[in-house]
Amino acid sequence: MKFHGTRVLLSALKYITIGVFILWVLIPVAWVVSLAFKPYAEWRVSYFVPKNFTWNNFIVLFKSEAFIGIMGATAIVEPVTKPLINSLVVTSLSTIMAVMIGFFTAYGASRYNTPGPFGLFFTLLTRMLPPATFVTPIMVYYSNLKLLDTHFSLIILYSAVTVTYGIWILKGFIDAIPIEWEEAAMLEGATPIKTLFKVVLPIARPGLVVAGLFIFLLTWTELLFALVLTNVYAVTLPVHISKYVGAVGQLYGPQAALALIGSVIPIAIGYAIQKHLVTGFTFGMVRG
Amino acid sequence: MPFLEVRDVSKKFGEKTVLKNVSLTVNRGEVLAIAGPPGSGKTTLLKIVAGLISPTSGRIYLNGIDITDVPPHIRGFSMVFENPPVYPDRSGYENIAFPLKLKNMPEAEVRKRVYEIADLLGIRHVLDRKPSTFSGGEYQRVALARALVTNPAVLLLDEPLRNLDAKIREYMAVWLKQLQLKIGVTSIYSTHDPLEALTIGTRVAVILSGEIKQLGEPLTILNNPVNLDVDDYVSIPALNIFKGTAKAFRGKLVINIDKVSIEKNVSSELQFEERNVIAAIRPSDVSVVKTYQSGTLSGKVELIQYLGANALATIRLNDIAIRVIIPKTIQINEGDSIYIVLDPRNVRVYDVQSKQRIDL
Amino acid sequence: MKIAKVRVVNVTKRFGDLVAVNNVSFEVYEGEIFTLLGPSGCGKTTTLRIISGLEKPDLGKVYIGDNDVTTLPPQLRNVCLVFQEYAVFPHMSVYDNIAFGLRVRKVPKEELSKKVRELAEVLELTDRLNTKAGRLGISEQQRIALARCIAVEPEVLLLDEPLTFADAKVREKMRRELKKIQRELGVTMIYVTHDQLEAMMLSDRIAVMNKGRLLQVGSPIEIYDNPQSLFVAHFIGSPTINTIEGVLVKERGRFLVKRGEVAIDVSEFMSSYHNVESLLGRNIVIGIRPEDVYLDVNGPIEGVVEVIEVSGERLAIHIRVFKELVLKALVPIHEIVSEGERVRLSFNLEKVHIFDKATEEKVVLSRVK
Repeated sequence: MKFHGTRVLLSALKYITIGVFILWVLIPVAWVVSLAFKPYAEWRVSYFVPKNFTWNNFIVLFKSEAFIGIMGATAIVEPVTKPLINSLVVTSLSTIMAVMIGFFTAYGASRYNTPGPFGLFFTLLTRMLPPATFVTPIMVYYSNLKLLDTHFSLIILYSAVTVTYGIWILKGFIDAIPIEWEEAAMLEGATPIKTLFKVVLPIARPGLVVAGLFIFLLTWTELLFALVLTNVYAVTLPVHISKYVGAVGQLYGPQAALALIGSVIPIAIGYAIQKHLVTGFTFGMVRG
Repeated sequence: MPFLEVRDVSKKFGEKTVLKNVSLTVNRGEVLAIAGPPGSGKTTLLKIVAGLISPTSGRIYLNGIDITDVPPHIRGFSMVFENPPVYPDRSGYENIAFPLKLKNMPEAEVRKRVYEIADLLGIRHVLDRKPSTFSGGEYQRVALARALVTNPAVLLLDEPLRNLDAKIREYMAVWLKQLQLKIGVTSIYSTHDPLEALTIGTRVAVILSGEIKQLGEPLTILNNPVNLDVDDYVSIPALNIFKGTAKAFRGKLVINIDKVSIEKNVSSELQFEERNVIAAIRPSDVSVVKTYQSGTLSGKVELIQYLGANALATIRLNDIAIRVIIPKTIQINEGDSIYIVLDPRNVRVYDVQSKQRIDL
Repeated sequence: MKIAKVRVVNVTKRFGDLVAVNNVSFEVYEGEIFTLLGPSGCGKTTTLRIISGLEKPDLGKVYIGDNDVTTLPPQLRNVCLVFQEYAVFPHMSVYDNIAFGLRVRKVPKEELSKKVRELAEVLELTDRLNTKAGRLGISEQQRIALARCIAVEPEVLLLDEPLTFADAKVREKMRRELKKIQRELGVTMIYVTHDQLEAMMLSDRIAVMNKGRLLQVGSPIEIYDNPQSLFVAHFIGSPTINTIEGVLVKERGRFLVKRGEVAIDVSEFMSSYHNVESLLGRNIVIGIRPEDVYLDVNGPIEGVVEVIEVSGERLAIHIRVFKELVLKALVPIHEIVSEGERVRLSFNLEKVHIFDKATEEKVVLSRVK
């Protein structure tokens, strides 16, 4: 066939392009992984596989003494335990708050058109301004309210700026639930509140999971607010990661190790809940 | 006293009138079928009866008691919707048990009733399965089981078969009728398909543009439509409709369509001067012969569509086309010449403005 | 002389473990309406998509005209597909919708305008050309979709259940219009539907599919009058064919079909065939169409009217003959019958079909001359 040669060439070109793109995305990730297992002496060399494989970068993260000797570099960084717990607490609680508030708002918007079309749009406002524009006023407020460097202040702020994603994602899911499914329950004796909890909430579960995962990831990696609003007690993981390189020294190895720990947690969560993402939502019947 | 009565109900959504002075009654144990094309107000009417929507005016009575303002969950009705309430996140059993669990019925009792109804509807095998594995027919039966498990005073069915394949729909319609005969629950059944309504309904109300145009027993509606729109709606294959003129005198009604003149015997009280009318005849009421006989009209076969036992032919006579049901014993091809026999008794005449029947 | 326009040869398509299309072969002649008919999931849509090029077969070949197009991508096949829904661009005018394919092909403006107007005339859309397509009803939208496809002059027009979302009335009208338009333009059409009546009314020939297999191809009359398998007999025809299941036995010189308390005398039918004895003792299924069952005061079978089904221009009377057996008879609408009445029945034994219960295939009998 006369197209044959051209088509082989085209498909080769397609795979080469895809390959280049994959490399481009994966190289930095591979570099972080590599760095996390290299001893101090190898931090600045350009090969991928460590010559002297070490767990030291991970071990020092949990120690509080100066790093002399162990690392061959001098620095004092707090152990990672507290920021890790802080991040888990702050991210989980603010995600749950954002999803739940988002769910109720989305339900109202979907079924009763409560905030009105403009009201719903208005919720996006918090995401339209660059965070840097309002982080300073918030710092001033928090300072006056004596809320700086507390978990509570971060949870409130994070859930406020992410709730809009919860609303918009969940509204799509709730819109897809036929109103008749609720009406049937009402006829059968369920009050509107009971209908909401026994019918809509369980059916919208995949939506809650999607919204939750999305918001969790956003919050987990947030740096700016945490950097400005925390100091000692409520420091989160991204802030802590930033401390390994800077005034204290150039601790690339531990920083890479911590980055790895920081990304393993959301990956594990995502993996654990993926079955909730695919179940449910097979509305209507199969045709064909 | 009728079991359920809808009295003079109207409903407006904003400026739009969806229902106009609808009145009907449902006797205990019967199925009232509401037949009408999409958008004619069927669903709104059912939801008003259920209490999910309140009427703009008019009242609903159950056993003579005004229930217009009683909220839906106290009325004790059940409804099966076009999007049947079968929740995708739980099994067939949990779906059917749902309304009973809402009432905090003891688990043993719930179990007993769910199994009873599942056996009655032949769906015991789907109780442990999730809805995504159900076939279309099973899906509908689970929805129906769920609606019946509470022993509702009135069962409302809103186009329950709409999303099914044609073949399953036909089967399910007869199945539903048999089920109804067995359990005798008072029902209102809405559908856009006139044949389904005429099959399932003990009585049928034809609703067009929010108004009930005719209410009666299936065969009365089929054989004696009082209104052109009703005749057109229930006629499948589609009714032949012609514009023409007619006059009535001394027990004769003379109808002129194009170049054809038809004379029909009517009551001698019917008398009017020549006026514009609409004449209608069903394809099944026209017959054909292959050779000329006196009184037949000559035409040419334009199109043949097989129906199974017979065929629907579109036949052109001068400027008009007429559709005729032809038995398979008469073999014809597209392009053939053929002769049409019109029995005047089967021609119905309607007023141009009011569309009411005038040849009775 | 019939010219094959599309040939599907031994096509198989698997999706994972599911064999969606199983060794299917057929020919579609130039200028005919050919319908792939079957229940949901029978493989008809997949077959159509293979012809269109949207799916590639695992095995087998597809020819359009004389060309092997099996590996050709859809845009090079010169076919056009009308979908179940989303068939028009709602934000565009009717004119722009019809012109869409022509513009993609860079047809000169004057020629384009002439062509669009011609097609609009045939499809009775002329006075709607400037209306937004989204504002029109389903029947008009499908005509627009059709016009858009026909405009690019495809060799074959493919239609995938285009009337699914129309209500019964509109569907009937569209079937007539579609057939008229096809007759006027002479375009080759392959049509997919699950609705046997639609297939019967529309098609020149029908291919009945089930579970990925092609069961029978023929004209509507052939398929209706001479079903080669139980499935085809069941699937074609509304109301559905009557079936009586049982073992064929000979008692006191009479042939009976027996199962439990059911016993139907079929001697009259059986005696007109040669090789009936070979069927004795076998499980068979007798099929008889409802129009071949009559209400007959002198009929041999008695039963009670259970349900009266209104079936188009006739009534289908469901009569319970035995506890386990309901037979349907078609009667004119004017016939007066009521539910609960006792009636007697007789059959037109000329029209009986016999199937083997195990294979579900038709049993071939040779007639006594």
